[in-house]
Amino acid sequence: MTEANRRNFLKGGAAAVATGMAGCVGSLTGGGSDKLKLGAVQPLTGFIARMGNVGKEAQDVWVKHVNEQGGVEVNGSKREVDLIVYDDELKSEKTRSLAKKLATTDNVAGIIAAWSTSGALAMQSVVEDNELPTIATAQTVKINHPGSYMLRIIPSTAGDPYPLLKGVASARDDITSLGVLGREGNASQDMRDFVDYWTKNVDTSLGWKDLGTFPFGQDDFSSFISKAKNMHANGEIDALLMYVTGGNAINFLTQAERNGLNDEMPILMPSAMTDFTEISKIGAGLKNVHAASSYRPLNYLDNPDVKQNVPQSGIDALKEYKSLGGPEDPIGYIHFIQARMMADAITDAGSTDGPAIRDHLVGKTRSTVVGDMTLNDSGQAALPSMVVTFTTGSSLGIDSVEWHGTIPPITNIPPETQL
Amino acid sequence: MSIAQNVINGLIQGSLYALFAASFTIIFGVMDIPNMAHGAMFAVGAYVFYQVYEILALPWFVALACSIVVVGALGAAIERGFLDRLYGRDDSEYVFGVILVTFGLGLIIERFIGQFWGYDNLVIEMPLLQDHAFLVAGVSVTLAQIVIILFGVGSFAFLYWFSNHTLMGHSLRAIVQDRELAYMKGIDVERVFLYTFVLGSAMISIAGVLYGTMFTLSPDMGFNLLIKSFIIVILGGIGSIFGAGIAGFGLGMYEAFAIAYLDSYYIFASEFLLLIAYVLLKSIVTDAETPILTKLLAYGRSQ
Amino acid sequence: MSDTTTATDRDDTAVSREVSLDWPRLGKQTLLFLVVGLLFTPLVAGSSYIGSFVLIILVFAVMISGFDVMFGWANLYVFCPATFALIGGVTSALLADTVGAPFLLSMVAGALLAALVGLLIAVAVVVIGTDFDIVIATLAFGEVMILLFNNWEPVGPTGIFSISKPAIASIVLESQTQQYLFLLVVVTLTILAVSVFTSSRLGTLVVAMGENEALLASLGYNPARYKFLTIAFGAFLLGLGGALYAHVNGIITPRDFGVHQTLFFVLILMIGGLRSRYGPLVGAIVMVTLPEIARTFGLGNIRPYIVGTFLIVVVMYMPRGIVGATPGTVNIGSFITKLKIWES
Repeated sequence: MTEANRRNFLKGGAAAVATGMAGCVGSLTGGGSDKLKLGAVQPLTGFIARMGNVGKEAQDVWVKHVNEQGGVEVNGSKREVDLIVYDDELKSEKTRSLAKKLATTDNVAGIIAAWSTSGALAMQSVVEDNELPTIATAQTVKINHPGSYMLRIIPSTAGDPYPLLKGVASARDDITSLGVLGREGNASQDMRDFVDYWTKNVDTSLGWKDLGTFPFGQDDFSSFISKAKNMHANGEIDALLMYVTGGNAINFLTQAERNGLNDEMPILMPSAMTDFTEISKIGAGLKNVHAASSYRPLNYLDNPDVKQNVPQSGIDALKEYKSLGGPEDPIGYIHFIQARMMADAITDAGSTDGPAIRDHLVGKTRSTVVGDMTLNDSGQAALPSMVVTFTTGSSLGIDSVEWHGTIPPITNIPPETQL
Repeated sequence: MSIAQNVINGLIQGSLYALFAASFTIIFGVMDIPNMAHGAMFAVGAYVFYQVYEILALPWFVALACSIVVVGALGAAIERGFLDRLYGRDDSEYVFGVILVTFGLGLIIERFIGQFWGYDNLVIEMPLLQDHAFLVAGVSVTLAQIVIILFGVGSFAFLYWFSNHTLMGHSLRAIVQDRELAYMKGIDVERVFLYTFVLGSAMISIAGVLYGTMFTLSPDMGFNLLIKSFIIVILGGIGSIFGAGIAGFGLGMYEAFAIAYLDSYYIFASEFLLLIAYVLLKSIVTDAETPILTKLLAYGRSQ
Repeated sequence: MSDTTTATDRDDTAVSREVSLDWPRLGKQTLLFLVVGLLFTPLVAGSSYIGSFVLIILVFAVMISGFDVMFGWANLYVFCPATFALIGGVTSALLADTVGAPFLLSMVAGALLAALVGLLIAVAVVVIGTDFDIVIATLAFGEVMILLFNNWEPVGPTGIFSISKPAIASIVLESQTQQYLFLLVVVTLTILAVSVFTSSRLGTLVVAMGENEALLASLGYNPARYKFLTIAFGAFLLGLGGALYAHVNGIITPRDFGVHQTLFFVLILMIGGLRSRYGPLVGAIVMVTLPEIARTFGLGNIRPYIVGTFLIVVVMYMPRGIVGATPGTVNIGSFITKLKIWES
């Protein structure tokens, strides 16, 4: 499907949406005698424990809500959901053996949470061998292939910088050379490779320079900031594309702003930063930051520019989510959607058979809090996204929406899909 | 790129290393205790300050005092409860035992911090230190950074004074040189070690508080600095406080210049290579009586 | 003087029994081990989940046997065992998947390359001499290797994934049960190799070197030689284990084989017992199943407390581990006797 067709499809909006997020109406006496088992692997301890715990919380909220309504409808009868959650401590061998446990001993119908690149790669063979539909929040480009049972509703490491390249770097005349800086690891490596591809094939008037990588625990960025400023003074770069996550983003941006970097050039940050970081702690550092995000804008619906880019169905769904007590955090939204999507697919399939569920996850457009989303045959969602700028000072919020559109389901570098 | 800029950056980065490495020097460099829990204690200092200052909204000096007391007490408990029992063991078993025990303690402390305060990055709001900044050679230097630089230099100066000009410092050096002799001379070895360890703990808690006002808090915030401090203390020469001070700021300078001029990929690897080279060269130089080839090949009956 | 002579005379017969390789006894023990292992097959076949961590246990048993050789038996404080495993694993994975080499060949090649690197480390160990500096240098070496692998295209920070399963000639060991049987044989052979090594004359000299290097040297032996042999042998086993890990786990990431992993190895060895051939296996069983058991009781996230407490308790109260031998068992008197017997 070309991108244009897909866009029409989404714009049309009337596509076959299953139960949607309106919740199911069911008789309270319904429900099958055996429970519907679903699995989740969350990093409840370790570096990203906060994220794992938020994800778990959101899914617990969903389970409670669904069970109060009698459960998920499967083939005519309602079955209560039993969500089995394991802590993989972010270790790949644990992720693998836990996936095995869920697939074989616990016999779950689907896995609705899994994290990290190495975790996803470790569990991949288990998931594929057992034909177990799995929705993971791992951005690596290496788990996608046609027919894959590993699915995701966040952009891949290549899809992540897309809105920034398309909507900012290539769109603005004053940006001709991007400086790329990232934290060590595969994500920034993929980002570099994608930027390289983009500058050589999609927009040849744009160039880029490699500013290097910093290790995981780096807190002081003064040297990197000086380097960026100097390269700007030399005319080598006029914007910064930065891959950083968590607390590092807070540290980097506050230091950058103090050193005047934000005044000199736009700082572009992909969704991995914005969807998974507490923006309120950054404050003045958000000046001249252009952030790509699919889920974060939902926290700022009071901004009319943002609101107009979220379909009404999404706004209603968000209201419902909040009324259920779900954590107001993009990770929460993501995990809630993952749970609901799996349940809807099971209902549509009318069974807990892996391939059948997959058929109803892939290629089907589903209505979610961020809008309509479709997963392609390699398991990647074409995701609505926005690039936003921020207001700083006493009222921290979104200033304007610089770009909005859909991130194509980029699953490889070089990409196999139209950009 | 201006040299001055790099020097300032190096000073900032180096002071962070010195901040941590100073207390580590007295504990590891002088007392020979490779305290792998030092990073966790650093974090405890920061988190206690956060709890008292941000959550309980008490004045900063109260919060600081709490940090020092808590970490000092923790240090005392570790020294009395665990390290004390390991002192009697023979050399390699001792070093090795200390590394494992303190590593285990570090794991437990870190996990506890994560459970109690969560793994999210916490921020300490201290406008006085964070918002006042000066431009030096085009680099913005905040009051917090200046305080850290002063503290970094100051703690090494303090340790130097302590080691050379106080009774306790002299006793410490005597013990480290020859424990048996020190005992016989009437030095209360247990007391000196305990007090020094607690001193080191107090220093690292202050370091944690200062670091926390500059950056975000996370349970594993001390880990990287701990690794760097190992390198610093060894390169500076075990036992040499002055050497460690130079090495701390030197490492910061090295990184600042390297990031500016080289591909950052290999900078951090080069630090470890430097360490390996140093250790190898040291052995070759100091053991000159037995040339390497002899060690490797010779000695009669090789069957 | 006369006391020593009497002691030596009394020890003679006992020692001579130890000193010659008791092949029949060794053979019986090996067979027994194999049979016991086979008895566990239904357990593995019955549950994919249990099977997966049993395989990990066996892989660790091989790796840590290698570590025990250099660390437990020879007292060489080589703190980069995880690095040897990583080298073995990466080599094997690349040979098998990029070049298409047969699995057994790749596995052995990985082990040999690890052994070669081990020799280099051994040279450094000999040059450095002091225990503490060796710890520092080898730890630093481990970090450098990880950073190098992270920046090397074929591996990268993600590591190598989708690694092919183990295979014997053209028969791919698809199922966990098949892999279990294969690993059982490998572990048996590993333990046998370690037993032969440590009971042989070579092994005795190695242990003596670990206990009292100066004395060994004064008797005319070159300690350096034994360090080379030990570290190379230990690294070989570690590389072998690493290759097995890569093909059984399907993925191998450099970051997973750093300081934390080395400390985990140390912990397994200390719990299982140093200088004991079944020690590595026992330690691996304990350290891998304990968190799983805790998990079944819903105590998943107290693992750091378990590991931390274990580390402390073992060091404070059981320095030689659960199954391990006590240090200094090779006393010089009996050692000299052994030597005399070998020489005659």
